[in-house]
Amino acid sequence: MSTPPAAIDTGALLALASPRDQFHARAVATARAHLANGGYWVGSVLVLAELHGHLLRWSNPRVAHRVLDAVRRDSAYQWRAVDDALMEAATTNWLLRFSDQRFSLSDAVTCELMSREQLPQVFGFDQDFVIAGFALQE
Amino acid sequence: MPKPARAVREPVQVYLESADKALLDRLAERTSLSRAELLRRGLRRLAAELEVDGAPGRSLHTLIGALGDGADIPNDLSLRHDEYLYPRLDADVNTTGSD
Repeated sequence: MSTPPAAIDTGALLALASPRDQFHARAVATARAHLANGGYWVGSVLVLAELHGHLLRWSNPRVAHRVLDAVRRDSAYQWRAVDDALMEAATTNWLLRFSDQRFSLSDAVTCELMSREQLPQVFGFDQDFVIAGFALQE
Repeated sequence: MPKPARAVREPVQVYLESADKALLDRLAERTSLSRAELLRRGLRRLAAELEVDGAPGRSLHTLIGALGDGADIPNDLSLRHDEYLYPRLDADVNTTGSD
């Protein structure tokens, strides 16, 4: 039956973007299956910023802009703005709670979104989410 | 805790034949999803199937393979993207790009 929405992490987008990535084939299969079942992803604009940063580093501004624009406009994703309240909650509930881990602010905001919106899974390969108590989307 | 920001939603009124209404009711009972959510998911699935403009997943064509096959791109980028973006000075991450 239909797939529930999942969160999305930068790693999943990079796995899709890079044919050399160890998880490229798996990411393509996961993405296509999720979409075929009517699923969509929820992410923060910080994930978009990280994706854009990586695309600039590993490619060029033209590719970075084209990909960012396509992903940003795609209704398969719901991109959440990050305001002060969300950053405060992400910091308190995730960065400080897991202060021995090297969670990024982007990861913490995603964790907070998953908690608030009751998203059980995240499309990504980053073990930080498993440590935080969430499941990776298969 | 503050409530999550919600996307703007627009109401749509739909007239269904009795057979379609019964089908929707059975699906709602079987899946425990609301009727509105079932209609949303059906719409997205049909749009993806028909590959119409604006269909969910249209960006996959642009995203998949966008980085190319350059040898400087590490094969563990998806797993260690934070470390490549925010490297520690004493980390063993290959910040020059070759793997």
